[in-house]
Amino acid sequence: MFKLTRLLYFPGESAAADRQAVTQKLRDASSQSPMVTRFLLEPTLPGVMNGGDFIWHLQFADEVAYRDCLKQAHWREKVDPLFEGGTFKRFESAAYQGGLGGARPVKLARGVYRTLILTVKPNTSAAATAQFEHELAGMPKYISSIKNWQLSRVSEAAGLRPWTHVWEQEYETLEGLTGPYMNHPFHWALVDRWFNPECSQWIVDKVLCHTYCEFKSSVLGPDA
Amino acid sequence: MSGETVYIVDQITAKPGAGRAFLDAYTQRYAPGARERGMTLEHTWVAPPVWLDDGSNTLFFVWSVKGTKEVWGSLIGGRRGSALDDWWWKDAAEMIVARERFFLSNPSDIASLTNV
Repeated sequence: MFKLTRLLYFPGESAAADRQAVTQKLRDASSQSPMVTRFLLEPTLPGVMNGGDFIWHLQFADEVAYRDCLKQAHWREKVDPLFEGGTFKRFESAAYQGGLGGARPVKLARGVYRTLILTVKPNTSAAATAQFEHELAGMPKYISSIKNWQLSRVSEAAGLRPWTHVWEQEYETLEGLTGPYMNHPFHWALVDRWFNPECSQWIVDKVLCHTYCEFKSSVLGPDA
Repeated sequence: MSGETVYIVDQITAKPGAGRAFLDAYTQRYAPGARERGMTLEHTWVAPPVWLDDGSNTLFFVWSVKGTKEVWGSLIGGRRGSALDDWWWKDAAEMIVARERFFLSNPSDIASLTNV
């Protein structure tokens, strides 16, 4: 599976109707593209950090389907111009092959989708990156509120940083993220060391995107 | 969980002959900011208990924080700006051979700390 995630930041002065028109264009383009297997376009919830106003997330069978999607005439005519200036204050973009993931045997009809888009600093050793990925992807083993998850390496990035990783999770409720995910010692005593300049393990750029939104249909669960 | 004590331990191996200088720098330049972020310095230890001129002293700084919320406060508070980055990765690095930070608890607190 190949994925594209974009965080959309509207200008502060943009009217609700204008935002609605833009998101409807993206929604139509997503739903009318046969290469798109699943997508999500939802407003972010309060509390995100560098998280944008909307999360636009698309999934494709593979990278070929992703490339084919971008080549469609209606994509080039209706979607591309939105990202060429004027519509958004800025946007963050990551395209990636889906990486190590998992799901609990519970179907989420609705819930909260969260994604963390980050950059491992240049010149980080392969061994350190691998250990970081191992520990990050190990969180669901200890934190049961994470229902579905995937950790992926980014192949194409745009925005504030050359994003290298996307860490996606789904929760039944926002409390699963703000409570158990944040409070579990596996997070702050182990995983966070990679994000902490005070620790010798620090490899993650301090500029990252921590964002989340409600979903009405899971994009990480296998049966969605 | 509620207010279990979490200990944050810095284990620092100083460059040969730099043990006392590092202790002074840590005490004067790092510790005040850590206290402002809610950390309490419980112990400062040095091994061996003699300042080595041509060998490395290892220093242990044992801090305590009460509760997970305060742990995050101490962590996030230090990430604003670049002062701590510069301290650890430039200034302190010049005096250090190796360092490690540990987050610890009493074993009897594990059940409540992980019951989130």
